Amino acid sequence: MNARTRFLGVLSVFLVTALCACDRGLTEVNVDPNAPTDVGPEYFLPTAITWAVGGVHGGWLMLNMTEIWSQQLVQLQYPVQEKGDVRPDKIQGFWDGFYLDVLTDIQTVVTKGQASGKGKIEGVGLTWRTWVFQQITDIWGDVPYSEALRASEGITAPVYDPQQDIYTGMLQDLSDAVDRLSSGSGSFGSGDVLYDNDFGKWRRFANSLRMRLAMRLSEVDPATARSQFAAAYQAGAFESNDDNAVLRWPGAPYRNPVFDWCNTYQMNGVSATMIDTLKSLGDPRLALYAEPAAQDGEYRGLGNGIVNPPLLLSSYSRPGRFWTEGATTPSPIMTYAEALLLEAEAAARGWISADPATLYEAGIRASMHQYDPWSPANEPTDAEIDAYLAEPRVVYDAATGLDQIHLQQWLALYMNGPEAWFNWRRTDVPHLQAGPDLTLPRIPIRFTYPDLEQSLNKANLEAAVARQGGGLDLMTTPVWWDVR
Amino acid sequence: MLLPHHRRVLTLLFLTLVPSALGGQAPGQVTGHVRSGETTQPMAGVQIVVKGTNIGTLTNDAGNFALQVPRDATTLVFTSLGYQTVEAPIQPRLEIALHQQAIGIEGLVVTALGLRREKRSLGYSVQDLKSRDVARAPDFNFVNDLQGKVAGVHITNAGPTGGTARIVVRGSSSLTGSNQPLFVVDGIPVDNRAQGDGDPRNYGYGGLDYGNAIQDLDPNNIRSISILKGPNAAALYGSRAANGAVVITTKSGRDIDAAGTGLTATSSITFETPLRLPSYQDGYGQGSRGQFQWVDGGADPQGGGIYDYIDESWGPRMDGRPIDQFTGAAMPWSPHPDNVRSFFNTGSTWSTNVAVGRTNTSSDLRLSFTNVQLSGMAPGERINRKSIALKGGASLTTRLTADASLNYVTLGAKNRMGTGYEAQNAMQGFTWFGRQVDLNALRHYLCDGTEPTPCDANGGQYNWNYLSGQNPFWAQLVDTNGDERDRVMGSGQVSYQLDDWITLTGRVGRDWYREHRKDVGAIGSQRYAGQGGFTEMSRYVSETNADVLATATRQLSSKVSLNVNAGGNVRTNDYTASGVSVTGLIVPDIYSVDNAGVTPAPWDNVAHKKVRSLYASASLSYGGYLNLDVTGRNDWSSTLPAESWSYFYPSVSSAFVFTDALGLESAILSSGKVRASWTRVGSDTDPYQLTSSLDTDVDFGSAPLFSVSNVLPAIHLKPERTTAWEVGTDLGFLDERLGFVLTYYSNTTRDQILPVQISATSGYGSRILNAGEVRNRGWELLLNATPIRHEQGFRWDMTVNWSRNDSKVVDLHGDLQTLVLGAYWSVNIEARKNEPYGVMIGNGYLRCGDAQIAGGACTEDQRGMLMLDASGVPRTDPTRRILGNYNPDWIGGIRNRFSYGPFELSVLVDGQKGGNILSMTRMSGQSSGVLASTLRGRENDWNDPGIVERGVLPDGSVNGDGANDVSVTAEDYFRGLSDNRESAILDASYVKLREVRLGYTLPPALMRRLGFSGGDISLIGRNLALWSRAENIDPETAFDASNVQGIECGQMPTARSIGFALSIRP
Repeated sequence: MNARTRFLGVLSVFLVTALCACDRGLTEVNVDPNAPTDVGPEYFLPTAITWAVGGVHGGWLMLNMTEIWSQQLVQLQYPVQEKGDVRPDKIQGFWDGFYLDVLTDIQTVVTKGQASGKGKIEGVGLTWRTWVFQQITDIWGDVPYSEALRASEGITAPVYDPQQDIYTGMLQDLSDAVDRLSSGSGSFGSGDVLYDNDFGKWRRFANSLRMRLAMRLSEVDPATARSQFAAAYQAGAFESNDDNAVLRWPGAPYRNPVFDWCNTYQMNGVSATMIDTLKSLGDPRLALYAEPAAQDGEYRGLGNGIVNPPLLLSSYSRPGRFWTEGATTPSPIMTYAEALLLEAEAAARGWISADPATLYEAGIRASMHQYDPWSPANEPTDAEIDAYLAEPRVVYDAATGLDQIHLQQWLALYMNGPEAWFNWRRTDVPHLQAGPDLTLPRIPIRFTYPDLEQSLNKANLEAAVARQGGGLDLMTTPVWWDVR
Repeated sequence: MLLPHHRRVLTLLFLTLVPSALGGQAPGQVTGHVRSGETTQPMAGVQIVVKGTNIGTLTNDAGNFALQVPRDATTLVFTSLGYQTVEAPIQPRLEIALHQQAIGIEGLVVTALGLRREKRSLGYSVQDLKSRDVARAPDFNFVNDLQGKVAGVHITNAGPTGGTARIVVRGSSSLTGSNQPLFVVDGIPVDNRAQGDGDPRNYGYGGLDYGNAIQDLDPNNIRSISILKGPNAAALYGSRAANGAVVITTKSGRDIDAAGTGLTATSSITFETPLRLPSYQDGYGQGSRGQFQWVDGGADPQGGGIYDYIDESWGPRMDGRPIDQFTGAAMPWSPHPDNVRSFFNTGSTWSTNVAVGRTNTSSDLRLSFTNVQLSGMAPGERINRKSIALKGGASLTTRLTADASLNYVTLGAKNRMGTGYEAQNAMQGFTWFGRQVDLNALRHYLCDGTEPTPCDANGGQYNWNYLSGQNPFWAQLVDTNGDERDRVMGSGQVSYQLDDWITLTGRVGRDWYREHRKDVGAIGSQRYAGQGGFTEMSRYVSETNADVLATATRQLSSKVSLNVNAGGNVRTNDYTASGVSVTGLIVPDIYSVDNAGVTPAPWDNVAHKKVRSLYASASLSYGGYLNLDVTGRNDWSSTLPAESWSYFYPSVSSAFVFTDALGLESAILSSGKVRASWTRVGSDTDPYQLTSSLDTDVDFGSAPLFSVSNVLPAIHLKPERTTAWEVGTDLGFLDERLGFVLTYYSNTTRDQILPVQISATSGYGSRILNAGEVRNRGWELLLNATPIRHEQGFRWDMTVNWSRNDSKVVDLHGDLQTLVLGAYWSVNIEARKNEPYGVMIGNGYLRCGDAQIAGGACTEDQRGMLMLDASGVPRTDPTRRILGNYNPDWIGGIRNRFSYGPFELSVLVDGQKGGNILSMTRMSGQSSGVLASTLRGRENDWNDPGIVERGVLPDGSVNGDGANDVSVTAEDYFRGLSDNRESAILDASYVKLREVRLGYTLPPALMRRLGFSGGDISLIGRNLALWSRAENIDPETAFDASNVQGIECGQMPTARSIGFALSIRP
């Protein structure tokens, strides 16, 4: 072996050693330095709250669908949803938004609360998770619930639970939440963007939400509705507008999505149904809810379900400036007014021992004062409210009490489109007329399931469709509680 | 790779390998001179070998050589990269001219690792292009210059100048990864990621297209390009070359045409105009139902006039009647047929290159400087690119050589036009427009109080409509953007000849760039809710490669020789980016974080990756006509779990020159080769796929936001596998005047690492795992011909390439039927099981079919007819189905080159057959009534005569048969189609006159009188004509650089480019 060959041999060994991919180094290279893999629950809660409210109270689900189909607003231009048409990608977007963006985060809060034994963390998590699931099931009916959010356990195609079971579960969760909130420990630091760690308010919100859920069953399962409502009422619901579950938008980049939408696309007007109802009863909320038409200063709504664009856009009322110019206007998730009007209804039904007329009046007053802390222009004055409450058709009459209460619920839920739409589906008040250009046989009362479930969760989806719509997945199929 | 100098070393090496061949024979001396057959200039570095031996030498800088030859030698073989090989009978003095030629199996090509190989020995297909094929009429992005020239290579262009060109070789095989080939410059892999907004891919839905990174390469420096098509050819480059490799060799000092010290100066200027704009109608202006009156254009608060918020063209007939408009009261309502064309300027691209080179017997050096100044067609659009390239090599001792190359590129751009569906894309705005608008009135875009109508109260933009959309001049000139990139690509290598038969090479190369981008929206803009804002980002991207390579060659017997290469590589990729977005300004026009009206949102992102490799190849040759190649490579990748991060991939290929072996050479068949190869390539994935990091968002007030990722990370990942084989033949006829290269290939990619969708209700949208199988099979044909060849006289060369690729998604995962690659405007681009990759799914026309016939809505004889609603508008099928697919049936190109004396004419025509494109220009432009096609039904007036569509009405009667016909206005008809995507899916077939160049070599006598040694002048044109079935758009378009293709939205018109170039050598 000559020197050169030896040199070659040594060099080869050196090269192989130098280049050989020994373990050292490669694992470290693949450690993601960009973001943590775990943080405390206080960082997941605000995500789950803001993203959920941003979606539910957003430009599409609220302004262009539920507010339209509950005939509070109208689409002046591009009235696609007025026809009852919904683009499949929007439905997919709502679905994914709920399950992927919101529920996983709030589930993390619940899990972390349970794991750490911090009851207040768990209680808040359960309350918010229930509010989210309530939106989902009231939109679609049967949806994945008991097996949902369990991909890490290997469940990638969860079963669809009947809505009745989901309601049972949600009511139980709220009852548990109130327990945890009453006795447990824990705090969210700056992460509680709803109540700033006032867990008494969270408890009252959980009870109010439990009343909402209980009342939803008024027509389909009055016995459960009654017992659940009474239990929640006893446990203590909202006591004033100060308890309201409202999301206070801090301003850019987190502006109220209603402002963002109206500022970008000036396509929404106020529905003729809303304007005419407010006008006919002399409701002082008219000037808050709507702007007079630019053309002649009249309050004038356009009827829903009309496809041809109006000749003069300026001859119709737009939503009030409190929303169209209010980047920090709050989004009402659930308010004292709604709780009072639910209590009035429960009293009228004899579920709780209270005077329905008193609760009814208090509900109307709470609605009128709902936005006091933001002192919007044109907010009703006490004199106007007194005059309104003296109006004979407004004065509570036991004979027509339920209809009056339901109408006030609809009026109070302005700019809370999803809840207005759900509650209208339950009560059928006001009695909404389908517009002339609606392509469906009736106003949509449900969303169809998203396309992707067809390929990703086919068997479970088909079972749900068979159970719920007799094999047809339609926007006109009533959900379980919608029997009226 | 081996630089020219290296070749010299290798050749010298050859000379000493078989001294026995020389033994006992008195040598004879041959001297001679080699020149270029085209330019008559001397050629340096031409390899001369005594046929059948390894005895040889190289020409010197003056093109001269001297060689001792054995007495029994009869023939010398002259070869040079890119030139036709010449065999000459031995005479004491030889004068040889080498012609550039690609026909046949003779000649050298550059293959993987930069190894120069005889074409005849290759068992897989490589197609090479020369400098003159790409650099004589260059596009700003040289990738576009490959279009139509290479069989099996499909290039699509996203539109704007300086924008992305997507290149795919032999079809897409990766479901979610890149399908573009690896680019290698002088042996160093260089980055070609798309330069989109924030995302590693471009973002066709909107935003700015910054182009793909390889466009930084200056075409003036390209000496040759080899396209290694299959994974077969690229097994040695590692997994990134599973989609093929584009191997580029840059020019060295030896490419300066003059001997000794040489200088070349080239300057070209071209002028760009839109090749095709949509066909707009000039019959009806803005409005609805034939009415319009402008009061405030839908501004808030609304005091508007009749339909003045409608930004569509369903208004009154433009017959000159007085109507209130944004330009004033009672203005004549008249068409402005040029109102889109006049938005665009005549663009210009001025490119100047100066290159100097110096060579002597032991060293060579080349320095090149290029400046490209581009003034785009869009107002204010400017791009400037300067590049300096320095390359040199030296023989330091008889055994030691060193080479280095350094490229520095600096690019600056401003006012790039927006793309896709957004306000910054004027072309998108023109699809939703008032056809009466005089665009020239909008050149005055800033309100200063002189306007005939009130400006937008919120902010200083003068516009034709204030409800939505931007004044296109404001969008282009006020909401501006700018970006800069500095890039260094450098490499150095040292080769040491360890022994007579073995050489060691060490090489280090690095591709590094930094980039900065800023995109602003002024206060009063439609963007940032009128509050003003901007986004800004910087990033640093680098790839470093270190290689050692040992090359050994042994003549095992008189007929058998063996060449072995073995080496190792360490690759490191680093990516660091950070940026900030501000969504509200305090003071106008100051785009600084200090002027942020709201809390700025900063972000950052880092990614690191390391791959270590060992590789080897062996090439066994028998008698010069049978060749067997075997390669193997093992990678260790940081991106995979430890138990599977090591993966091996082999290849084997063989070539058999049967004309030599069997003595079949004849007057008709001059050469013939068959070849076959098989390979399997492994592939890793992106960094950080094994764990799941949390997503974050801007703080909500004082609350930081964290969120669980939507992707469930993989627990066990293994490498992807691509298995490919190809067979082919290379045939030369009639003394190599006619050549065919025919290849059939099959590539299958399995175990793809991809996020497989799962039901969102599980809490995750997808989980990462190995799944999926995509197969691509196809034919490639290359035909070269020289129909006419008179020595020193007229010559006609023709090259035809044609290829078809059939792709099929064989399997996804379990029961999964489809993988959505992207969803835009309710159309999905999907990889659907048992369908070609890239089918388009959406809602189309509802037609009478089995279900409707069974349901009684239609009768049997109505089968296939459109179903209409009561108003006579076609109904949209609620069931989504396959509406098309973006893959062409075949692509091809024909290049003809005619030369006569000093004249040369080159013409390239190319095109594609089949494939679909979803045209949002058509979709929007029909809904809004701006396209010429919407004149249907309103030939007489806005509601006259109306459209009677043939189809089945809800009552079962047939409309359009003359009895009780239902007529619908054009407005209702076309608006009624707005959710029908089938109505916007077009046939993407086209034929393009891609390139024409007429060159003239200036008379040497004249040049000498002027003090120059030579020069030429040429007229050049690109994209001169387009024929297609699709209207309104150029169907050759890329949505972005991702796998979502076949979509067009407000495309920037393709530039028709005409100009001239002058090249002189002092």
